[in-house]
Amino acid sequence: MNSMRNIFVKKLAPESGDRKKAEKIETPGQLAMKRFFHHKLAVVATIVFIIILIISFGAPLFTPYDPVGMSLKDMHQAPSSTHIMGTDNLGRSVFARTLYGGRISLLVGITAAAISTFIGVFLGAAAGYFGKKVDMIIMRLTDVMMTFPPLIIMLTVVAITGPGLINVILVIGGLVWPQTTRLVRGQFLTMMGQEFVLAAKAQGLPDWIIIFRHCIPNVMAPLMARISFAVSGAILSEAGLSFLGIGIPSPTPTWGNMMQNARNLDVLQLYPWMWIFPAVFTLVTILCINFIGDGLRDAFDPKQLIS
Amino acid sequence: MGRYILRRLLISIPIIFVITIIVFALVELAPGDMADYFLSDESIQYMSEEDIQAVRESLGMDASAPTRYIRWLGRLVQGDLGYSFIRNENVMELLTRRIKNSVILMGSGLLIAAVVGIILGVFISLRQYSIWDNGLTGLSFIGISMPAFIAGIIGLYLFAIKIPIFPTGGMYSTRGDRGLMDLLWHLVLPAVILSIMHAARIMRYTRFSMLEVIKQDYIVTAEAKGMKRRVIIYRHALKNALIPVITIIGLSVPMVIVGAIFLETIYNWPGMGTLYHRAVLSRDYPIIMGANLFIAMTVLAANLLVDIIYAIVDPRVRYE
Repeated sequence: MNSMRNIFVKKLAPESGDRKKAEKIETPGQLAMKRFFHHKLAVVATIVFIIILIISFGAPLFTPYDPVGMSLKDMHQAPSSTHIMGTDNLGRSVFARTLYGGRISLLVGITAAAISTFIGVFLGAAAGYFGKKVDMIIMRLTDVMMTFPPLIIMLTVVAITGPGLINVILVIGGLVWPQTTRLVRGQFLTMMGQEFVLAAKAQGLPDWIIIFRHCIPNVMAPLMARISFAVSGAILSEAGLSFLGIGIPSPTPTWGNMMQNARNLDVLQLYPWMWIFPAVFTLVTILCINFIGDGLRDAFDPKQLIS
Repeated sequence: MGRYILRRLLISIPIIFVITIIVFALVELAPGDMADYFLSDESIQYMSEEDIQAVRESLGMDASAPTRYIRWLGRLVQGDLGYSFIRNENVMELLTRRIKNSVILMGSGLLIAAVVGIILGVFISLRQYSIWDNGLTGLSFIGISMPAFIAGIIGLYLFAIKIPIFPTGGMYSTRGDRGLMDLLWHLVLPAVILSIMHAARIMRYTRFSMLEVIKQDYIVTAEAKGMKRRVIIYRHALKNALIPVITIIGLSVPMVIVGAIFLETIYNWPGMGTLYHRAVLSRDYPIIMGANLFIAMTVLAANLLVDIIYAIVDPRVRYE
């Protein structure tokens, strides 16, 4: 961002003619931060999301109970002062399971989003930068990928590879990149004709330096929003797969496989605390991440003005 | 117009081919093969190497993957998807029967979403920043973030168990009259829940699109000519504002299919989703392949339909 500041100051100063004004000019990053903090919902969502992260990853600090240890004499207890979210059909604390489950759900969400972003940026950059045949092949591939709803292939692939944490992460991460690819490619295409890319090429810089040092920083803005939606999408995919009993198997708690209990009508009706709490945690997390994503998108949108 | 549609159809043909390759290859990646279903661990002990080979040959598993793909494709063209491993039923017949039920659910879900979304979107766009606008836009955020399976269990809990006005599942009552009314009574809850997320999305896009169109010069001109507000809104603005909404409705199709899989399992709807779910749990590959193929084709057809409708309503597209 520092190099960008210089460009902005140098370019704008003589035009405005006012030296003092020019010094006050903020970097795009600072402007974006300022806009983001003006977006009240996004700020609240960030705070709530950080709280969820802390209580999930610091779960042992907040609950003395073991999320997988069974205690049959305590089963099906309604929420009380000892078990604030009650216990499940094997006498495990729902509160402990929700917190520890958050760890897994968030871990899956974040790592799968990281994988899909990596693939998406790589393919999108290659398609946009090299164009022609590379572009043709990559774009046809994304077209085909997009005719399969991701969850459908996930179901098939997990049916083949079998459930499990690593498989679920790899499958989700490996399948939801097409949207990122399209986004990055679109951004790259608009950059290709621009002077800074031409100048870099004229200097004889190797392609990878132009891509990583000159182009990718310019994609970061829309990519940030895309990444947050990828995280919420991945959390939902894991929850959906586990809900159908094909994701991460019990006893490891995740929000998805805890909600799976609700498919049993008795549990749904008689022990609602077993599924309400993970459902609320999932919903709140998804809402927060989506609000953060919206905030980031608005913040990085240069058309948005700020008073 | 005809040429445009033809061109779009021709572009789809290679995509269909790649889809069939992916559907075949996905299952090909699975460890073991079809023969394993017919050879249990127990029976293998009493079989000689030749016997096993004979079984494999009779199933056509001795050929190489490309040969088997060609054979599979050949049967596919004739509408033969093979037999289910578990149910021993013809997959094509089974799928068509189940898909009909799914289409009832998905179709009504999408229809409710489109009608409610467009009406509410127009309604709030004419009242920008009012209580209605802020309230519904706020609610739509929750609607968009609400995954089908959570909405499904909450809906089931509230409207079938706590306030038992709807049945807890199934498509028809087990006893009594199994007519249209009975079907509708079973359909309302899952269809409405399926539509929530999409209604919210369509509403937001309609609102955004209406607000964009209202700013256009031709609307200002119409106003300046002294036309009635109602005529301006419904004849001039709405028609143009709905064009981008068509895309959003088309893009909802894959998500409606996924949502229907969840809702069918929650509400025991005897559709393709429940069939697919059970097939995945029992690794019944012929059903998985058939369903995957159908889903990908539906999405492709939806995209194609959007393109064609687009060309009909917006002449600029087809003269590109």
